[in-house]
Amino acid sequence: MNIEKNKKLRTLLNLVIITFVFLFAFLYIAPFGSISYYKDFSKNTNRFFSKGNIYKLSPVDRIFDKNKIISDPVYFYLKTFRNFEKAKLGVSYRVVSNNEKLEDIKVGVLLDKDNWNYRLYPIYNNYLNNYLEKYYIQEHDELVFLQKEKTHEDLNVFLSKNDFSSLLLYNYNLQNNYIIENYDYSGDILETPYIKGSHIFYTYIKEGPLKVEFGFKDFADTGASVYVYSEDNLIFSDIISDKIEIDYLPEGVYKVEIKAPDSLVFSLGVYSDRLIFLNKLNLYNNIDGFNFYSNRGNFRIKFLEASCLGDILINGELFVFDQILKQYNININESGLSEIRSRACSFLIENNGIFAFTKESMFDPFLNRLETGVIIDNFDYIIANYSRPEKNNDYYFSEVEIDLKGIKREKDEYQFIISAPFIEKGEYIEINNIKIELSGRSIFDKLRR
Amino acid sequence: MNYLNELFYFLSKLLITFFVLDALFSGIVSSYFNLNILLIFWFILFLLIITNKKYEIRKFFKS
Repeated sequence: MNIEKNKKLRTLLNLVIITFVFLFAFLYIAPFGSISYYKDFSKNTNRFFSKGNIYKLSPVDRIFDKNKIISDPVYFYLKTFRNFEKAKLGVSYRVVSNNEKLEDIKVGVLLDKDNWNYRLYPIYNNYLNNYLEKYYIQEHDELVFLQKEKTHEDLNVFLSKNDFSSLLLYNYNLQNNYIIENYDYSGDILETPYIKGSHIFYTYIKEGPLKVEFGFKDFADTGASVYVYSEDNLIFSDIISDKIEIDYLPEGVYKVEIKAPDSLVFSLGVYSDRLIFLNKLNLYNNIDGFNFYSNRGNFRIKFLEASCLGDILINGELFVFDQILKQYNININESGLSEIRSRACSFLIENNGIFAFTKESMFDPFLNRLETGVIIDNFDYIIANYSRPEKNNDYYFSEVEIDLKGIKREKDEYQFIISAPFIEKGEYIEINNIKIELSGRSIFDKLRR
Repeated sequence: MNYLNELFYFLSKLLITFFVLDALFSGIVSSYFNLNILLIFWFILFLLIITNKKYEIRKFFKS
């Protein structure tokens, strides 16, 4: 009898083990193509149970008291066992800030690690939150059209007028067919010093060929590639080589994107009088030092080599840098062009504007954007791809739908970013919790194909 | 005593299954459950059984 009882108990316990195996297999495969994960960052929930699928709010020197972001940007990871197509990301957070300035928080997902390229989505913008109450609002799909006074029936009527001088854009690209009046190409080649890794630059050509020459330093086949866009439409792509030449193109602005690892060092020779770099310059060893310009007064500067540490002059103001791998945030409160000069041999400089190596080659083909330093009251219209967060006591809750297509997971992880460049000393963002609902193809869809 | 043994066998099998699963498919178990906790339970049970066995042997010789 006792043996019989023992047998029954053993069978029952074996069934429990099999149930566990099936349960974990179910969570691993997510056969119906959807699964959701939740992490409460305000509690230490992982000590006795598990680290969870959402984890590692890092780097630690930018986090205070386990969930308060005191410096920008921070990252978190989501471990999944298969690919998904979409993620609905919900974040509950609190913003503690000292003064009235543009507070812009974005979340995003890493597209590819070689270029540190993120797909970003805004979740909080204090200016827009205010103006969504002040201005006349119309919603068009995911877009919000704000008017100071209701002068246009709707967005389509406004766009048909083709006058964007009083328009401000936020998280939205509007094609404006930028043309430089009386542009006459001198026939010179614009040459740049050595730069390394991925860059995006814009050039302007008068009806004719688009020609760019690359001068490589120790060229190695790194699989780097180059893409050419006209009005955000891809018109050319190839593996990087000595030059690219597209025979005939109509007059206008062309965007060239170079996707390359930082080991690839090259200079450019562009057959145009206009050449600007978007958002960053990763400068490489130049014995003569550097001299270039930007249309913004805020910079993020990082030195990657100890031997290259040095001083940088921005509009005549001297900044001293004595640590490598540290991100220095510099703000000079001056509008107009900033001139940057340095004899340091190599550094990375970034901002949300554009860079050019000469004043003459600088041009700004972009429409006005809602950024730090912009006075919104000067503009009558705003087009934004943005939805206002919900407020519950001190906490905000924002939800964005993130496109995960084409994203390669590293070690089964999606890497997410929280970007809040406005944070200064004494300010922070407290992350309360994060919820991610993933959806993709079900196992039945995959079997059918 | 038998129940204790059965529980010990169950935890041993569960532990092996979980470790093998987690080794084959990284994080399949550890994302949801801390295996160290299971290991501690298993070890406590192991000590309990050993102590019991010692007690029984002593009792046998005394009698």
